[in-house]
Amino acid sequence: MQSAKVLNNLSRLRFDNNEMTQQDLADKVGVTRQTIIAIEGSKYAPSLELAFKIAATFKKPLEEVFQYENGQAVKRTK
Amino acid sequence: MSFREKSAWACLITTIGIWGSYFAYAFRLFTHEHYAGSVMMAFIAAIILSIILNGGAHIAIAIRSRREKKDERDIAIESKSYRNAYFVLILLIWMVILAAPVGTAHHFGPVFIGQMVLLCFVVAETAKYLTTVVCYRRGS
Repeated sequence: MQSAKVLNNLSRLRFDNNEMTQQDLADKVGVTRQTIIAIEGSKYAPSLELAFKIAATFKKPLEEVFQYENGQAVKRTK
Repeated sequence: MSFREKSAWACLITTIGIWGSYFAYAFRLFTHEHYAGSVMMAFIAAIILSIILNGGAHIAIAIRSRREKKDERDIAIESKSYRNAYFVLILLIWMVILAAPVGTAHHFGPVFIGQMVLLCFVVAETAKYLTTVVCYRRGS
């Protein structure tokens, strides 16, 4: 478990993908809904494998889903 | 609340409830002359009660919530919980080892020392469930 340094656009991406629910995303990437909630809230940094799975679900490159730059978390893009 | 979080809450509450009562009873008995038999009976009762309550609680939780496979966050929380429990266990066991000669000099027999070791395991187990619950609550 890491501290909250990895930000993400999960809620916006879910909304853009036919308002996909957290449970739908959780089922697609094989984790629990609580894990998706924790990732969305930047409380849990996913493993590289899970991050790639999430990005692949939205058909986006990893850096469009998760942001981490020069050791500093960057602001979430709306 | 996920199945695993509910399970951790159930284990935490039953562990504190059952073993807290057991130790409160057992340590009161040590002022009596023939306590070993009574302590053993209380120990067996605590184990049986623990199995029944934990089993019952988990059956109720499994019926009411969706059973999910353990994911990477569950495994990370579990690892952190075991790590904390291990630190607590080692610390307490060393304290018992260092205090044992003093206890023996004050006529505390092997049954008392055994109870102290059992207490170390119970406190470590409580630390494990407490860490699990805190991690799930914090979302980390």
